[in-house]
Amino acid sequence: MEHKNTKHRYNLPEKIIYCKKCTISNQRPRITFNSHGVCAACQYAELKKTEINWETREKELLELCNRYRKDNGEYDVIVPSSGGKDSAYVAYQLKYKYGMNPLTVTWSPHLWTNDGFSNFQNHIHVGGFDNVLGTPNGEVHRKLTKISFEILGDPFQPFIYGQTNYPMQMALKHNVSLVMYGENGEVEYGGNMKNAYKPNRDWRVDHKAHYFSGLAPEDLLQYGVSEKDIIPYMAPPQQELENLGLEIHFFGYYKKWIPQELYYHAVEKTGFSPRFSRNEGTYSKYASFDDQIDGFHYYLAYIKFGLGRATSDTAHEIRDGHISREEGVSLIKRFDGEFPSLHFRTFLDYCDITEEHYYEVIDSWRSPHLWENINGEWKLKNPIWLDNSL
Amino acid sequence: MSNLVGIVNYGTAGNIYSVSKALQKAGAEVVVINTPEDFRKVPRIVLPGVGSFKEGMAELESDGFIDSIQAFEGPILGICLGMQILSSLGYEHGQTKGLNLIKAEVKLMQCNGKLPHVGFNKVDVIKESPLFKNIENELFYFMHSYEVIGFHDVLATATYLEHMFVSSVSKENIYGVQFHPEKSRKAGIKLFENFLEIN
Amino acid sequence: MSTRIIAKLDVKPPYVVKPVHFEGLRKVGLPNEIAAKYYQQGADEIFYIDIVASLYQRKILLDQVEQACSDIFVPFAVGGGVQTLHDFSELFHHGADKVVINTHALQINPNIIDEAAKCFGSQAVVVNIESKRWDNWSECYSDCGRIRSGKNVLDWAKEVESRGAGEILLQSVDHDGRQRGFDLELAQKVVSLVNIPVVVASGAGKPDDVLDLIKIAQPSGVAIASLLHYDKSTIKELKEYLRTNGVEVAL
Repeated sequence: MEHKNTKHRYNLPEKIIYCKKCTISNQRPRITFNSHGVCAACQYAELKKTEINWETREKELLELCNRYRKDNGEYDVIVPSSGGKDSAYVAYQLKYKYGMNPLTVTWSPHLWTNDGFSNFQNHIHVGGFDNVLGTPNGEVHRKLTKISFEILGDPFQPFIYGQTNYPMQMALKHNVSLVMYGENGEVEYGGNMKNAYKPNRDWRVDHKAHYFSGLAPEDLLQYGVSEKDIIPYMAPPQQELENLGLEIHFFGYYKKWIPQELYYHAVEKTGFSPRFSRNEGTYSKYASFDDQIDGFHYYLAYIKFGLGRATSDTAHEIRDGHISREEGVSLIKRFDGEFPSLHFRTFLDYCDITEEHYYEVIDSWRSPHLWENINGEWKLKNPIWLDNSL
Repeated sequence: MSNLVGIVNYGTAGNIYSVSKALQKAGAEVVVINTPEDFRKVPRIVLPGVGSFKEGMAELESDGFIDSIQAFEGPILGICLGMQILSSLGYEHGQTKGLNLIKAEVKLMQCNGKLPHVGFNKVDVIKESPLFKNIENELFYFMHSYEVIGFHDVLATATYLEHMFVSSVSKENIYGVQFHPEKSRKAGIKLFENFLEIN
Repeated sequence: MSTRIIAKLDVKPPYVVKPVHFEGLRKVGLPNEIAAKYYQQGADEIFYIDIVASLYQRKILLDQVEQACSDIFVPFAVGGGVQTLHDFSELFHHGADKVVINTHALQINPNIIDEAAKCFGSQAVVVNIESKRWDNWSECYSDCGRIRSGKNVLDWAKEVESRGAGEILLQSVDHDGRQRGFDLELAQKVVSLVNIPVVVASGAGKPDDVLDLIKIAQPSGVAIASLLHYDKSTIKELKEYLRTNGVEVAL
């Protein structure tokens, strides 16, 4: 099995440095730090608290809604939706506060979890939304999942393609030019900050770099998947989207994005329930648990970058003022990198691979600048709880 | 007499903090008694009460307090366990000798209900006493599974699920309350104020 | 015997917070202010639970406890991250009248219950049960309602009683913070199953919820949080309502 050079691939620095304020490290692709050692996401969080004028932003939202509102029974905004707390909040606000007529669009998880499906149903039945659910050919989806796992180390690519492109397909089909996502992940969590002051993203340009880790659907053809197979995963032809006048916006630009507040909102308004117990790899139970293979996506990130689920959760909870950095470090020490064993068998069957092969693939992504093997056990070289640089 | 009160600190047992705070609210100056010598510094003492009879007596013994308490001439107020150990004998986890200042025995409450008896309950004062001045018909907080059984020196009773039991005793300079004055709101503070006024 | 009306403070020091389904850390206020407020309103007891101590694997913060309970002259039950007899003792020395325990007893060392009862007396040992419903049974959870134990609530309630616990605090992950009423069925089962006092929490949204619980399950006490934090009722109003409807309360 070819060992991957993640440093090269993701442009990762050799020395691991942690943000002084949150728990994220410089190993997160595209993240930047300022001269005080504070990461871009924390800097942005500071702006959210002190500089951004949310009243002005809301005015912009009102203007946007006024521009796109149809008032004739037709849908006027697409809200990509998993049935989770984020999209539930966006759809609810657009419909009940801003008088829009949203269509929630769901790209199916690989394998629904019970809690995830229940929340998905509730957002429709309790929240009160029209919804379109797109489920690609299961056989193809499995093949793509296996391929993306083998090639990218991340089984989640087929989901990410659809999550990005399916709403655009539905926008075209339903003649809706506005697509409203939740937060801009790159901006909120420390990636490419170029869109920090824009409400939208340029759908023409960004796909490959931000969302496909450099592997677009077309690139899969060489791996035994037919052109017909990948149609559901593709973005519609650019010209058609131009004609539609497609715009993709982020609600997080217009409203201060605090995930925990969205959780409260979702429970109260759209029938959302947290997971039956904490997510594997972290302490929280209110985010991202609709897909049985969720865990393997997060686990891969842990292997590639040394940043697991507890790290991502603590990082934003610190920025949002819910926990301290010290508490975050404690939680990471306890939960980060926990193996997602609950659905492991299911995952192996789904991808039709053996356990040995799974570990072979995983280990091929461990960079020596992050990992060392001590007595047969893999250990992080500089985990945050041992980091003395603060 | 001064407003000084000594609270007997018998190690692991005893909610000293709560009792101190309440006594201070009543106007007392609180001294924690950690050694037998400390007994001489105060004109009156309080024996607090969180713990078990057996452990409580064992602690008093190892701290060397038993003689000091038995010989103490000023007013003594035993609270909950502090009242129970004033008795002759306790039956919690086997038999244990108490301070023998009140002729009584301590046994598991005999009633048809949930134990411990927990919560606010009405105290029925049956004798006149400075301890209950102006608070003869108040609610006090109870938290116990054992009761003092004896017919001497009963100052007040209370009833839990139709079972009447001793809720306060008094004999000469010795007073005991089964309930927790430090947890009984204004009535409890008043009881402490009354105690401070006893000579 | 009056039914106790208890104010429950879920604390993530230095704030009182109000999770929903044992998740979320929305701030309500400062512990000593909140406790004083409910004490003034007539609370029979205050429960102060450091809900993240076990989850964050740290001890309870004693100075925070001491600060919270000053000037409160009703029982203060304190829990969060309790593991050893020394923890119990420290809490009693910093303002606790009863100590509440869950995670360590449930997941690691149930013997701590026996030891604490012997040392401090049953009445000072409260076992907190965080229950979550499945189809035909309820499971005990730990670490602020997020780690399973595999133990049945009814079995565990019976077990802690036999180990010497003096009281049970019965909470519900499903009902917590929803203000839609209590888990009445489970409350009734647990109350009638054990011979020690049971305080039932989780779910009060209006005074009628509390009335229904008392009428149906007859708990020794009812613990309320959201109802108070969001000013849906004061304790005085609640007690008067209960008294009017035939429930004995300490007024």
